[in-house]
Amino acid sequence: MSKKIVLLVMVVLDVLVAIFFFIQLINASKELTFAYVERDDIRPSSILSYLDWESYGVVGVLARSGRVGDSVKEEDQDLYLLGEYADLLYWEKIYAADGNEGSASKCAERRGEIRNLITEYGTILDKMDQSVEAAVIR
Amino acid sequence: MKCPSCGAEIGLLDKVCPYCGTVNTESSGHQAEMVHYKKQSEKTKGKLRRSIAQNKPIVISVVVFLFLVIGSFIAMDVAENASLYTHRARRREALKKSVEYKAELERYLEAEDYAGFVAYKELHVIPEYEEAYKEFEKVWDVAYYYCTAMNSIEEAVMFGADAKRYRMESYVSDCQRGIDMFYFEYESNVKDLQDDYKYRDRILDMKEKVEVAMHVFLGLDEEGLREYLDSSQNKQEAYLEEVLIGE
Repeated sequence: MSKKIVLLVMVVLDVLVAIFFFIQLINASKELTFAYVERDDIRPSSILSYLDWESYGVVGVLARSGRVGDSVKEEDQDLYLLGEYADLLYWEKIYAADGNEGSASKCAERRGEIRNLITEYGTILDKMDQSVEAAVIR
Repeated sequence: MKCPSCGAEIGLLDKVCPYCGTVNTESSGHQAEMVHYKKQSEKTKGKLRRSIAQNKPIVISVVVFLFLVIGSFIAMDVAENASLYTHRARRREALKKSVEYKAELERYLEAEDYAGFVAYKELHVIPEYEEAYKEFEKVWDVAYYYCTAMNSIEEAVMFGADAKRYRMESYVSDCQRGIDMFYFEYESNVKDLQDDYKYRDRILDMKEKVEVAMHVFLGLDEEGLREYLDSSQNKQEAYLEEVLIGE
């Protein structure tokens, strides 16, 4: 095999490996910037699926990291706010039943803020309100 | 070599002996050999240089190839273990910012937001076993299981009117297990708890909150709760199935 052919093969291989390398580099940087570290299943797509199934309790639990200051991507912010709303509904009920009016009213206050932040999701928020009311056993 | 006349030690290329002045007849032959070898050496060097120049692009491309392959493997490893790397980085940061993080953890406990306490601790990978956070170790043990129990109830009861209730049986068993594990952890921690432990009240309050949730969402009043806790795992699951699925 002449040297020219060897060189040509090497250049082609270099280009292919360079493309593969850059794909891996982008992938690695994406993984490193993903904020939540404990559970890999907490991805916006999971929250979206549970929202579709109207499993609001799961949505609330999955989005809790956002409530304690996790960094959330701009495009996923609404999902996390919906989850936070569901979570707050649940805890508000517990605080109220336990007689901790201060924490219950803080939950209600924050829920009000979320309603104003994502007005376009009013229907879903109403459904969440109904879900917690329906869950209470009287 | 030795001078054939005086026997003194002289160089191979010396034309005359520096001691007796006798002419060295062998030096011309050695000089001719020397010139020949120098020429040969120059030729070999030239060949080598030409060969290197011809193969340089191939050598460079092989080196680039090796660097890219090694780089790709490193990037793949980083992607695969990204959570481990970020986990370690956060743990280091948690030790650096212990004063700030401790104040925040206190705030969550003060507000009786134990779920927030657990989520904050997990988010920042706070090592409760390190000296800086040692005071939270016991409260963390119970809070973790408190969170498991409360999450399992939350997940099992909050559904929309048109919900697709997949895997309800697993919600029921998660709920039973979550509550069971909380009580086990609570009992084993409380019996060793010192009266002056800073967060003793918080731990006791966690049990109260779990019981409130069980009352509000699972319909267990004081008597029902006692009966539930005294019953077998099968009976507990049967009760939860009845409440959560209606079977």
